[in-house]
Amino acid sequence: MVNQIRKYSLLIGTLIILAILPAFFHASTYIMNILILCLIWGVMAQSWDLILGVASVFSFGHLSFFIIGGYVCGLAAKYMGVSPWLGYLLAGMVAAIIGLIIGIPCLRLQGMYLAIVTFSLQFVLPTVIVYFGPGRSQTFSTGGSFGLENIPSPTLFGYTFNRGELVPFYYLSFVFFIVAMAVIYFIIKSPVGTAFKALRDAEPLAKTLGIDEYKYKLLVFAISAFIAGVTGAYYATYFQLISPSSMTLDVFLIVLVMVLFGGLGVYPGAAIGAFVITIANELLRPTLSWRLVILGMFIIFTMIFMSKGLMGIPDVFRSLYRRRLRQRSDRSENQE
Amino acid sequence: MTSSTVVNLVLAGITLGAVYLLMAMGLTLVYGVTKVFNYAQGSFFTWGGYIAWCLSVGVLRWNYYLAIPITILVMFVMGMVFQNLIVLPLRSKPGWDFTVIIVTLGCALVLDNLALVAFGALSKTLPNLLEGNIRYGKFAFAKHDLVMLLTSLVVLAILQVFLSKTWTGMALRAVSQDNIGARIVGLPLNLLYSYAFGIAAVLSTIAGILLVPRTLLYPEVGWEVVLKAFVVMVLGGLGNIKGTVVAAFILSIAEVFISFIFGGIWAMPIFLAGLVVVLVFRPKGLFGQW
Amino acid sequence: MLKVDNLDFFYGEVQVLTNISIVVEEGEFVAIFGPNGHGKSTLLKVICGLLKPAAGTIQYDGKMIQGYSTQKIVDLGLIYIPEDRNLFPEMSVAENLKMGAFGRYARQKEATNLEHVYHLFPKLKTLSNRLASGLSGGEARMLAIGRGLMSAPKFLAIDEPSFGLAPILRVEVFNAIQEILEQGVSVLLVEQSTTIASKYANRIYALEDGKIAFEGTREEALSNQEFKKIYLGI
Repeated sequence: MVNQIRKYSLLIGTLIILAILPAFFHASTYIMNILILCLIWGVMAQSWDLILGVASVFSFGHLSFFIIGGYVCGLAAKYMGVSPWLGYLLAGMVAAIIGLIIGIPCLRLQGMYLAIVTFSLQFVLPTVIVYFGPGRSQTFSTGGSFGLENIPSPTLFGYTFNRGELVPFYYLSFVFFIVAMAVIYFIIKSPVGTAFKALRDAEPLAKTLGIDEYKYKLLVFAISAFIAGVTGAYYATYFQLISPSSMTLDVFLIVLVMVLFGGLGVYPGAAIGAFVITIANELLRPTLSWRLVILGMFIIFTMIFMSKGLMGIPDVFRSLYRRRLRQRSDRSENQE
Repeated sequence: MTSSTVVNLVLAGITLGAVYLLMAMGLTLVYGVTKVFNYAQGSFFTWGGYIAWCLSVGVLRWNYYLAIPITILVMFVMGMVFQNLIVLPLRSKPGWDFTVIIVTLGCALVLDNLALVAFGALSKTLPNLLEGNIRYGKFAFAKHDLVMLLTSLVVLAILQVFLSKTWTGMALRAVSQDNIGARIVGLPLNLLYSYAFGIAAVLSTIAGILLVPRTLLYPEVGWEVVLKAFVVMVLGGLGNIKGTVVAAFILSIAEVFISFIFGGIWAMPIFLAGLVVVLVFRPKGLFGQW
Repeated sequence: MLKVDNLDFFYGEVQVLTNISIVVEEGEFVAIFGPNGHGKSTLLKVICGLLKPAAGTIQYDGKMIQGYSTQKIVDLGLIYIPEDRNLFPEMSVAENLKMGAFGRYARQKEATNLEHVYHLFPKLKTLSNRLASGLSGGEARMLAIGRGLMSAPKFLAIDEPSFGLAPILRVEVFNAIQEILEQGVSVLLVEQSTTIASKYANRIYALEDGKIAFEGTREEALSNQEFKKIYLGI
């Protein structure tokens, strides 16, 4: 009971803080932009954690769905006049469908193979995108390596969000963030999430109970792809630009750090990780190319020493405390 | 497509295949012995190239033929150190087979970006091992290509002899076949793990020295090669030498033809798609055993 | 030669071995009986360094070896032959035997030991080029013992050497063990088939529920009604 109250108050407190942040930072577009990015990457990290941490699927293709979503929305807006809102939906659905197409054969593969195949998408996608750049086709162009420009931002009740006024955009992003996090939360709490917990804790039993691992994995894969696609689309309408440089290895690394830092499979660790890492990433910018070296070493450090991520810190303290207790009781035993 | 084009393509394919085979053998050796898929293998390819460049053309300007063995030695040590420093400590932790993937990935990116910091983003190149062409009737082969093919075959032959006739080589095979059996006959496992990584690093370096005159040298060059080597490894079936050999040449010849007809960038996507198709029907690869 | 004192071993939270104390004198043949799953194999694995005990000591040839790596223990001459055999499937019989002689001392005696093994198990010589994966159960077991012998043991810890073997082969295996004993090698053996082992063993332990339930010489065991009822089915 106390735990519940504590969790709810943490949640509400966090939401309130996030909601009033613009009051302090509205003057600085730089900071507002960072905050919006935190929210966007928060969703990306959490949805990646859904497939990687909760469902335990070695998918490294999450960023690919992000990019696909961005391009679908951008191309639809540019060449078919589709509004951003519809574009988000379209992006999500296309991403989910592609997720299914990839997932159906691949989810049957062993973890290691799946990891490499999905990882390879990182390399394949940009080259395909660049291939369909300027001059390739009469009807459309992906913009090549420069990316797709002039993607429209969403409009609500006659007001068009724009990067000149970041406070409204922030609140739109905030709403988006809350909705996405809520969806992910409900999936984890739903029978689907419970099924994965069962598969993790007692696999043979779970399977005799008829839990079809493959079907659930496929479902979560498609859902996380959908979320990634929508997020990518939103990102595209925020920056009004989407290009292959949004899915370089560096970005992949950074988002992976977010997921790991927060702790794999522990909600909402990844989102917290996203906030911390996005800010850290900005703070490290003065170091130029060393930034990525540092982040890479951070991954290594985290995996070796903090394999449960940020959410595991209470555990670390707890086990230290327990060890101290044991030592104390051992000592008093020996004295008797 | 004329017959001379076909012959040229096939020869180019065979040459490429030999190099892919080098990388794939390195990957297979590491995976078989240590059960780790080393995501940083591509970075060894890259760094092998950069060190060779540093020693010869780029900085120290030593004789290239001298720089090569030094590079190989350095990379061998680097491979062993990598295993000892990073992979080994993880083995005692729970869930290490997942952790190690993330960590080697992190290392790959650290290494790539260190290369970026150290050498910049502009492509460098290594000299051809032999300059000029050989003419035979209508056909012309670059001498370097010939060297590529011969070197790869010689290295592979040496590797085979090493694995089947020497104590260390047999020990490596033993560990890959039964880890516990290896322990009870007293094999020094940690040392053997280090050797596996070291040898793989050397194979990647040799592949780098051979290929870089063609692909150029930039911080991320290793990825394409390692991913293709991975496809070879999986397609051939993990641990199946003959399968890996066949897979290497099938894929490289296919790549050369695909590049010629559709363009080079389509090679990787088609490989991936093909790999997935094969894995669906034969999860152990075309000839797989593990 | 081997002295195990107060050994405890846990598998996760479960205590598999409790307060085990065992002695094997030089040149002795000691057998451990007990139902399956009660810790016999685990005990051997702990002694040979494959598993680490939670508490207790293992003294071998005057040295405290608990915590030693298997490699070190093999170098000291303590050789383990597991129930699962753990052969190298893609290597031939000859190669498997050769791997047994990897250790420093074993390598020096490789030729003599190989001849000795082929003399004990003539069948292995005819199969010397066959891959280990192509051997029958009995042949594999002979190879496992042979490979263990190639490691120049001063002490052999064998887990269920005769399990699943036809009676003729069982006798062959035990005759081989007798010959090994005659050369001064100490043997600690874990067995389910008690009839044969109780004919040859010097001393016998019984392990139940991870604890020593009986210890004594062969004569004491054979005159103990309780023991005979449970383990010999008499």
